[in-house]
Amino acid sequence: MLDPLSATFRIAASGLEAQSTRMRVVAENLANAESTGATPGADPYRRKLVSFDNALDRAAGVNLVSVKRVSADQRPFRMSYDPSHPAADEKGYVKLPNVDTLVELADMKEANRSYQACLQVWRQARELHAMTLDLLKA
Amino acid sequence: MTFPALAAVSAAASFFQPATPAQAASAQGGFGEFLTRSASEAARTLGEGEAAALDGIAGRASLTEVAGKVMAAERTVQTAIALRDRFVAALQEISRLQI
Repeated sequence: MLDPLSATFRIAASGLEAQSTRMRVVAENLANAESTGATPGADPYRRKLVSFDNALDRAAGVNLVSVKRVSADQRPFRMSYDPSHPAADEKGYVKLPNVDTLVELADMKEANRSYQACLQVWRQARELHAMTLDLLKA
Repeated sequence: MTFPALAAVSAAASFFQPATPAQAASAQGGFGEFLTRSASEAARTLGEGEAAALDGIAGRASLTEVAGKVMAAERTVQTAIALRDRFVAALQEISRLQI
């Protein structure tokens, strides 16, 4: 059994890791919000989704968080009429990525907040550790 | 015949060093072993922290991983130093007792 404060650091670290992966996926989605195919009728960028899972650390006996998988969003692509586009099909429609910028921004904010919360847990645990250690120094 | 003050000193000393030689040896080994173990543990976590920092600079480890390892090293060293200072202070307290 790990010391609870040390375990807290590990749990918070796993949260930071998970949220930074989420941030990475949001960045990919936002950066590729306009990425279309190059040949007629080709599929554009497909939005990625990240899902989390609790992972039991048997050695420490605590539940960490881990990224379960980064999967593809199966929502249909947006269609836009642009016959001059290289990816336009025979009717002149281009498939655009199924990325909704507003949803991505909201997701980014949420990742940001979760990251901050984990950092705060870390900071507090560190403070508690330092305070306890001060007892020895007095 | 024993002086009360001497008796008090020996009582205080026996708190830290048991009377029989065998026990005294084990008590000394206890503090020595504590020093050795805490020093090696501190060196090990410091090594881990340094390795993680190098990995982080090279882009092989994430920033959270580096911060976690480095701060774990910091905690271990701080705890070891605080405990050592405490024990040494207690021993010095004994050695300064007026006889």
